[in-house]
Amino acid sequence: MTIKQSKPQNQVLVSLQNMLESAGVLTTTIDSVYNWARSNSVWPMVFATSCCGIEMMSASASDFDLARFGSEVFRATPRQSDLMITAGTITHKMAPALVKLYEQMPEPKYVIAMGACTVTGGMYENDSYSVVRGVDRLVPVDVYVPGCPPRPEALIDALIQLQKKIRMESIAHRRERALEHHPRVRLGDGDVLLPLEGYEEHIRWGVQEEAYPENWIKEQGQLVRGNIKTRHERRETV
Amino acid sequence: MSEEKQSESKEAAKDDLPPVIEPGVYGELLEKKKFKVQHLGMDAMGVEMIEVAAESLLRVAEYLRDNKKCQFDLLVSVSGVDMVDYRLSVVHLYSLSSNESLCIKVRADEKEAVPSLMPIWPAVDWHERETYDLMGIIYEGHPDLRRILMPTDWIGHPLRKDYVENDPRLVWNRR
Repeated sequence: MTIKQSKPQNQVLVSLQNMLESAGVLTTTIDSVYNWARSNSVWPMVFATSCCGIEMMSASASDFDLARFGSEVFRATPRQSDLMITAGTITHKMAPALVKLYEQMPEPKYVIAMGACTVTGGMYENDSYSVVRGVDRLVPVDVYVPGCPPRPEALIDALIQLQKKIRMESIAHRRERALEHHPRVRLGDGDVLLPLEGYEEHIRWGVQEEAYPENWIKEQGQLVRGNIKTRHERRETV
Repeated sequence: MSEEKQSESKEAAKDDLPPVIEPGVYGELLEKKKFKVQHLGMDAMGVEMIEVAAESLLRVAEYLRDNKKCQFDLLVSVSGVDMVDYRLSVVHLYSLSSNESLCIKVRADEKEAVPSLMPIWPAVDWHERETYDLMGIIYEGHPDLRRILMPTDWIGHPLRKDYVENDPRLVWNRR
């Protein structure tokens, strides 16, 4: 998505603005007012799945006071919130709930991936059977906050970065933004999430066949998993 | 690797006396009542361990709960052990009146089946569901044996030694 300059480029418009300002009329663009209002009232959703949630609560409490940045209203429903702070490990059991909550949020919606678990899977990235390796495999993420858990200052910094991002957007591109921001997986009949059709590029992004070539074999021109050792066997060989 | 194994076997040959396992209090008590019990000694916490055949598990459990000398009225946990060749279901019991603990191990058969302890201690409900979910031990007689931690349509039992996550649906979560 390309962000167009919200300030008038046209010479006529600029001179018109100067004329009006000299006459005591203050003019602005709808983008600046709209983004100023939106970026200073980012309402996060209550979504704390483990220890990062404690830091998130601390950031919103009086010591660090997230309210200074207009983000104090933690809503308990996705329908009233603009921002999802995924604070904590996301397991396969939790993932369908996260995707459903993200879909229920109204546009425009933003996601901050807080903590190592939601950025890459963290310490569960290597061997875990139950943890999703990064929340960006499920939904698009705007700001990543590493740390285990990150300090409240880091979360506040992430919010300021998000506010900067919101201020760069244009009201004219709401539709394009909404079309881009959808979950990267789909809900099936069961509890296990299914890959989204037409998103092979995104899926390949996370797969590290070059780093772990022994896990992969070529079958009819396509890389498939094969010759994988169990966790038990891997520990025996070390 | 092979040298290490040889040296280990030599060390084992030096003291090849089998470890002396003394029968514990509850194991002896059960043997007096003509239950077939295998003594496994004490664990690190000094808790007596016994192995019971699957056929006699329910009668042994009922005796341990109701007999005045035992009174194991609190079920602490049910867990599973993968011994590669077979699976063990491990039951930890506690007696509130005598402050004693007991550990019962039951070997699962070829169909991975073990009788459920629901009629004796209803508290085993979720414990047995968890052991079924992660280890694949099937508790016969459990009224609602389904997965509790993993998604309902998950393939395989993750804590088995031979488990490999190779579900084609989870291509988006590959490493």
